[in-house]
Amino acid sequence: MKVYETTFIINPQMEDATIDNKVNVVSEIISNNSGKILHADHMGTRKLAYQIKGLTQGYYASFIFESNTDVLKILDRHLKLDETYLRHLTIVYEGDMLEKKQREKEQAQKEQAQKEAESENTDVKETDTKPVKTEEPEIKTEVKAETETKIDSEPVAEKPAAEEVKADTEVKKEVEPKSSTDNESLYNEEDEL
Amino acid sequence: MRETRRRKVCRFCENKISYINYKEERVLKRFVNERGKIIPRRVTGNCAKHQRKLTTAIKRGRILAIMAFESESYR
Repeated sequence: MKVYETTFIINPQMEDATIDNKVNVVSEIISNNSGKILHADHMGTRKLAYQIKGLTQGYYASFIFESNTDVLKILDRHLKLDETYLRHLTIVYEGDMLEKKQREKEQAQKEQAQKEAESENTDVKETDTKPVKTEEPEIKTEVKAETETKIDSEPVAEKPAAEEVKADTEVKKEVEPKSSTDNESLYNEEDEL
Repeated sequence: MRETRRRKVCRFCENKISYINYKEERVLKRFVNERGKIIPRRVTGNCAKHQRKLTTAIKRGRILAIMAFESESYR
């Protein structure tokens, strides 16, 4: 299974509902034929570089998806037959954006799994101590002390994890604008040309 | 007199951009002249690898009406 990206332009001189419908039809075609949509991007109406059927604007939308080659035929046929789709292009996706997102997802999943594991461990300990309480009243105080220490330790253990997550997201936020500024430096150097 | 020019460096290499998106008109239009022709890399200083990626991106952009196939020259 390869990852593909399909972009298409829809005639914007229609009601918003019908445009949305046209976009949804494409996503349904993908998902109904054992495809998996990884990213959807509705860019909205945008000026066309040249006129298509006398129109100067078009509604852009794109999907990044993973699928068999069968889907591409069906999709291509659909986009060709319906005249409200002005242009369409399907390519093998090669961007690195996807990899980053997958990595982020995986990291988030790992962190969640770790958190769950931690919470489960603490739960087990608590359940173990409870029956001891009822059976032997003398040990009660000790158990209490234990549970108290645990209660104290729990938030301490969890908080850093949460902070780590926050820190990670912050780092990501910091990283993303950097790339955009890099791009801007690209744009601003126009004068040299 | 001969001018000693600084050798141009590929901007995509400088900014460590590995993927040139065909939907980003702002980037692509820097590498196209007024007529909409792709500027050769001896002028822009792009490296071969990125020039190849750039041309495919521009050509894809043309299909989707993001870039112009041609526009009238000013005369």
